[in-house]
Amino acid sequence: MTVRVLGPLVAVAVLLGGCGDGGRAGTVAGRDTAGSWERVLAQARAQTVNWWMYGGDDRINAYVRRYVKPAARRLGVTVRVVPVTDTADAVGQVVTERRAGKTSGGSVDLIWINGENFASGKRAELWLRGWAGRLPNARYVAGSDPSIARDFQMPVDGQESPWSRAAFVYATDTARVPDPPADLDGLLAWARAHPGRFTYPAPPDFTGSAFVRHVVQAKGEDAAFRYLAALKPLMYRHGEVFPKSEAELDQLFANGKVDFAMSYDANFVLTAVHKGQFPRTARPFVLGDGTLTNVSYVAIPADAAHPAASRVLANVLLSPPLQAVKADPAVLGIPTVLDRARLPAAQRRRFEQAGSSPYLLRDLGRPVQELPAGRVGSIEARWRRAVLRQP
Amino acid sequence: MTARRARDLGLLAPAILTVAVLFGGALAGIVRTSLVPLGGGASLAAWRALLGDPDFAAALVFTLRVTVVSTVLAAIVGLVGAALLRDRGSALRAMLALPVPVPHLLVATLAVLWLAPGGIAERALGGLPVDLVRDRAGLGVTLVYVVKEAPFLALLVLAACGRDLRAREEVAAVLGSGPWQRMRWVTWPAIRGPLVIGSIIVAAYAAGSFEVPLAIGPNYPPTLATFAYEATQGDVIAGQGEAAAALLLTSALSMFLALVAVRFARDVEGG
Repeated sequence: MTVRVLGPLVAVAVLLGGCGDGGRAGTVAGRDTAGSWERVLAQARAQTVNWWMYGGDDRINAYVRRYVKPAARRLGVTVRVVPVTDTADAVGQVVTERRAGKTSGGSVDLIWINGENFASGKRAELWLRGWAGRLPNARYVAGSDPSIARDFQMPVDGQESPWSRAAFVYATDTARVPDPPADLDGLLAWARAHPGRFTYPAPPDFTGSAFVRHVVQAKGEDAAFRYLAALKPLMYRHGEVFPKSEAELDQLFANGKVDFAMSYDANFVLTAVHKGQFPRTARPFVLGDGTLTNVSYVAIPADAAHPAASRVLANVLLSPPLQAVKADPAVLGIPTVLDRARLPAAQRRRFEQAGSSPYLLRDLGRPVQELPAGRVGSIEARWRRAVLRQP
Repeated sequence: MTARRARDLGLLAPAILTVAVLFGGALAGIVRTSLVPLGGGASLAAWRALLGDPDFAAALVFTLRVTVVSTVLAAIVGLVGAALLRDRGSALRAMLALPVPVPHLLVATLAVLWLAPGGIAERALGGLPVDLVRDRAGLGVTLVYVVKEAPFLALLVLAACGRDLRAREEVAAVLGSGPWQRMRWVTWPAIRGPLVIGSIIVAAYAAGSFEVPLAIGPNYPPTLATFAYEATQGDVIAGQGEAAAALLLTSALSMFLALVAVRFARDVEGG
């Protein structure tokens, strides 16, 4: 099924879903009543949601433009995306407004968020509470699933609603490296044999930080830093220079300067091959028997100007038709946060119909949970001390 | 005399008021952010964290070095450029002015595109003798500042080299002064003012600029501005206080450089 055909179908399905939701919400969500969701919908009508989100992924931007915005518009909600280079910028905006004494009318209505950013905000009581579980479409989410109920091991407590799943994958060009390393020790051995052909972005970059956490999860913290120190002189430009971002690493990989790329986006190879940036012989792989995974969410700041419209948008993002489009490799290929067992049969079929692609891994192996959010900062600081600053 | 002074102040009042409200207000806000953490209660925690951070010391040294080297190089290149173009037509001068309105970020991005490993220059030449992108010495950052600021300084100097200056130089020559004496006593006093003021602007910009080191600068050490940026990225809440303290010190550094430059200009005048 082509994207063009899917578009209107999704719109209709979301509309139908929206109509049905109000009626059933009361019995399923327990605490909520159908009437209160109707009230939220009524309040949201004609409002504009300022949705602050990472803007560096063209395909996600296109998905939002082609599917999310029209679906929200049918409920009378206008979505205005505020693209940021790092989610911390959006949280920073909320913190600044809070400092200035603002308690309502804030400029951030919704943030695409997870991990440390969510955890610091939660500790500082920046987020609207107790709304996420009451969304009509939350009934399709397995709230007891620990990968959803805890965000980097911080309990979500209804302060954010799941949207997306991510898995940390690596990529190589099979024309250059037909047999990529199977695990981290294999990677070190490979780097010894091919000095200067591996690098990773410098933390606190999101991707580089995830690579370091992957090593920490696999080896334990002290052994991980010994490993990273041993890897450093074998790296690109002797480890004196690191790319500053995933985009810069992609560039080095595409230009043949290094042999591996990596991303917390399981479909990044697909995206880059489609763009013509990576060669058609590029393939994703995982290092070790498992891979780092996380769920990302949307949170509403407590001082948001349009909280009702933000909830409506969060509900639209969770709707089975939109999640199915997102899971389709032809559109995005991002695994859904919905529990398929909870979906009506017709909806479930949509997920099963989604095609496959050589640029997407069918099996990501054992999911490895993220470290507690509070440890991320200290690991990044230790990396600066033990790896970056070392000559 | 006092009446005249009062009138001068009155005339300056709108400008002073604007600066005081816009910059003074912002500065007061930053001072508050550095002292009052989210949730209230004044504390010096952010300042203590900043001053105890070895990365901050490294950032301070690196920023000072890049600022001084870039400004001095830009001034030298600007002076040489002005000397070469002094007697040329307006077409060449217009070309010299071209880089001035181009944003720094664009120049830095172009530099990365051309000079980065795997970039256009390397592909064309098969290899570059020095690393300019992400090099620890900050050569790339310095290069971008010199390319951007030298034309700006050259234009300021050229504006001071009008027909009037030429006439005075000719008078000095008729009175028997040599080229060095003319430079020392006629030309230099005329161009010194614009050069020093332009250099203050350049130095203040280089000390506080954030986008150029972020685009082309090393992973380590950071500049003060990138240090502040990374502090807010690492810890969204406490990082703001530390970033505010770092930026206050950056502002103080720029003001200090300005005072030194003004003082230097006065000494030359007196001597």
